[in-house]
Amino acid sequence: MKGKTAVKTSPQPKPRMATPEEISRAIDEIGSADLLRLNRYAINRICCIGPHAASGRTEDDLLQTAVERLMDGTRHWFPEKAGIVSCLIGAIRSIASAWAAFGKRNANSPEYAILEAELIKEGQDGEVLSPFDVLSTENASPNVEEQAIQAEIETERKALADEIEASCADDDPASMVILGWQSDMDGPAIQKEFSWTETEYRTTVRRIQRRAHKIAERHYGR
Amino acid sequence: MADKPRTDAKRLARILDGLAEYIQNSPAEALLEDARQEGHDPEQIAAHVRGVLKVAVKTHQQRELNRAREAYAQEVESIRTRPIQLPAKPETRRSWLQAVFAQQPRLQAAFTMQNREFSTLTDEDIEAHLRKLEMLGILKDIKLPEDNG
Repeated sequence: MKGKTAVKTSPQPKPRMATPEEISRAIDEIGSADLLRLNRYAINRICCIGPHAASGRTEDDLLQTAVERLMDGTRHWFPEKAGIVSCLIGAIRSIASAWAAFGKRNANSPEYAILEAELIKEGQDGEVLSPFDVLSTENASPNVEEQAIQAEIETERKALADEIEASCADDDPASMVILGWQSDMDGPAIQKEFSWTETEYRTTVRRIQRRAHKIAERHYGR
Repeated sequence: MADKPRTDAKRLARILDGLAEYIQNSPAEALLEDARQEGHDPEQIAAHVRGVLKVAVKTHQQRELNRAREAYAQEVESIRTRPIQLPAKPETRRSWLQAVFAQQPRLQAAFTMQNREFSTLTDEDIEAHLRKLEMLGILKDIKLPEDNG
């Protein structure tokens, strides 16, 4: 080891979790613009999961759930690592995803909620089928009702996507950004693709956001 | 450009994800200006959101308080209903408490408050004190006189 300087790295201190009191104080200190940001973000996520998955829950419910999760320790806020607003945004995003996933799971397995008698079905030859056979075949593919719900969701999602895209049809940069998103590109990738500055990109997205927000208000009353 | 979304839900999700990134990172002034241009009062929205967040905080605090109250009530109830074996005769109980104070003199001040002398304690006082001492786990550390019924 001669001639080598050993660089001692001290172990990283464990990030400190905020207490409910700190969370409460930090929430009190959130400024108007960030409160607006939280509201817009929650509306965005409710629109994203759609009314079926939201199942009557609003952006306010999403915000409340996010705060509850932080306060009860289901999610954590590390004050030294991020601000409270970023933390709440992360919580909002993940709760909305969970709501969407729950809706999807239960749309395909409503058998959990039906009576045993309803499971007794007859085959083509009139023989009574085992409830387990019925379950396994019905779970494999959605029934007519589920298919109708799924079609309704897709129609509603299509209408909203079409309307947002149509609102940007006469705005070439906005259409290009949407095209980029549809190709699974993020902001920096789109900027690079079209040789835009960040300001150009942001100004364009801002125009899309204004139109999209207006459309969402019309669709969902928010 | 590749990887086109396969469903309309996915197509909409990609637009909304792009907008979510904008909302998350755009400057405060741009957000406030956007709201004004949409015909909304940003301060009114902010006040509403603040109210929603505060209700969530308050609900949590209330729930915690109720939980603590319930736990306290349960604890008190379990202490109250715990069977405690004390001598049947009042004089033996008195000798037990005397033994406690002799071996733990600091406790005497706590149990003979309001300037009351040991001799003025009623049988009921003594029984209540012994119950408390038992619940606190103090009696087991005291060498007690024999209980001869």
